[in-house]
Amino acid sequence: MTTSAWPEWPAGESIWSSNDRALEMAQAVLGSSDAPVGLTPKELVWRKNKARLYRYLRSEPATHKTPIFLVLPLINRSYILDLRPGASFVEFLLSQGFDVFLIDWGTPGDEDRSLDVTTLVTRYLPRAAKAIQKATGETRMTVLGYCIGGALATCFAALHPEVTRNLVLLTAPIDFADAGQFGRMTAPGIFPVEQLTDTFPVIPAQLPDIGTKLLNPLASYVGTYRQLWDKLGAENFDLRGWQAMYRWVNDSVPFAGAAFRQWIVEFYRENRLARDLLEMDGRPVRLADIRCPVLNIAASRDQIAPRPTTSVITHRVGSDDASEILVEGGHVGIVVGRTASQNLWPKVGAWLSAHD
Amino acid sequence: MTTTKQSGPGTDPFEVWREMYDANERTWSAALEQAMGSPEFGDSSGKLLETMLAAQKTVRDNMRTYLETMNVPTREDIARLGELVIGLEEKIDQVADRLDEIEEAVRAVPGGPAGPIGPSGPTGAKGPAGSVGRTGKTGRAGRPGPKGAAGPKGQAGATGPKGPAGPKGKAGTTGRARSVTSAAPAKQVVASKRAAPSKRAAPSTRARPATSTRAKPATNEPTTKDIKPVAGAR
Repeated sequence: MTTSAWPEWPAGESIWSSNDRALEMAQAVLGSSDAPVGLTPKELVWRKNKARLYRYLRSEPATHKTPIFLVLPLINRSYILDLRPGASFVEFLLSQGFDVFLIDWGTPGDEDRSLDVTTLVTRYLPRAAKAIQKATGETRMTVLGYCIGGALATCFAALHPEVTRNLVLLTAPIDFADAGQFGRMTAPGIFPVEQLTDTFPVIPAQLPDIGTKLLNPLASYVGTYRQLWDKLGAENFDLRGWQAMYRWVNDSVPFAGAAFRQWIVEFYRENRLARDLLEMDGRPVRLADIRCPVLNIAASRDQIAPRPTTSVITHRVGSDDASEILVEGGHVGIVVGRTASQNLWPKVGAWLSAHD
Repeated sequence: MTTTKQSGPGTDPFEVWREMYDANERTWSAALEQAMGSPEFGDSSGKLLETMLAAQKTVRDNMRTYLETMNVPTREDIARLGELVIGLEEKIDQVADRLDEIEEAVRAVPGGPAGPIGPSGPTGAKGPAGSVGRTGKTGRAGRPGPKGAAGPKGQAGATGPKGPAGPKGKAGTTGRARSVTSAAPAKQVVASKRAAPSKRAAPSTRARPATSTRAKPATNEPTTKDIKPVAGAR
């Protein structure tokens, strides 16, 4: 009883404080899966397979006539643009008087193994757009794509200029000639995409997630918690906000096998979209066919969609009205970060109002 | 944070971790970035992934063989069923697309139905003939129905007011009625063909057409054949 087999633990108040902080950190991380997200009220307008088109509810009629069609990435949950009250791009758009629709691709299962990007662009997006037309009575809409959703939106805008009033791209990779670390990771001879899609009908969500985190492994796997350590000691730390973001980052979606293969082969490796070699359902997808006003939003420190992949669109579209906003920040941070609501969103809102 | 600063290095493991990370983060990140950008890393990670995939495939194949031997549906079997459902859904979508095209074509005919008149279909919502139900439903959109009066027979206009009965219609309606570009015209054409009996029946017999459509579902089916003559007549 008098002696212990355990090594003596350093005494003092500080160690207990640190222990408390460590417990708080564990609670913050473990509790993030329940963090409330995507709270803006919405109604289901259209559905197909796992895809859902939502219309965000407004308390009063929209003051802008052109509806906004948000096209989200395939590998992330759609609530990134409606993270939580006060940090929601959707909420901002609604407050500016826009009628906002969002397509949520859902979670693909094994039965979606043959669902490719072409099908999404030619079978899903047009029908969702038609649903928006029917719901609003407006023939044309602003198509706003984020990340991979931006590439999809670009293809859609090129194939359906009659529907696209404006095209807005948020950190959307278009030209993969210099795709950075992702490009090297998915290069032929290194990344066995065929073997992967033969083995998995649906690519497990962890794989793209690991790929993203490997772009900056130390920051992803350690730095996140290191920062949290400090933030937990700060006076006005928004724990629920951190948890919502943490939840989204770790809440990836599986990638339908055929879509993944097409994304890697035709977009990354062969760079067909930027080279005007992409065809969908026998129709050529040409950037020059995009003649509507275009707003391209890029992040200066984007590792997922590096600057060379996002900078080409404004020079290649057939529109005379193509502009760009380059924001200081990373791929996700510029869209939902603290400064987004003060910096980026008002600019986007002003542009959309001017192009209503 | 203030409390952790009070303890000196070595007394608090979390403080040690923090200081170690801060001191080395840049160096380690640079080293990792350099290593991961090298062709050797790419080769070895690719081979590692290939090996893992081969192992995974072996496990999957063995499991499938085992389940098939045991007469238990495999994951692939379930997925195949799902694919069939998805394929059916796509076919339904294609039919709906085609209907939309036909409706637009009908509307485009000079002197044809002026837009959203069509959904004047009276009641009949419960009728087995889906078309009746649909037209009944779209009856809401039938408000613009009066325009239909301009039609040659003026029947559509007459039936327009009966729209309210539509809600009885099964889901059929599909919310199409809400759409501006809606399919109303085609439905209107169909409805106008049916309108005659209901007109005879007088407004007070709203419910009757439903029974009659039950009795003669086939006659109420909207077909291309139904549409052409009427459109042509206009």
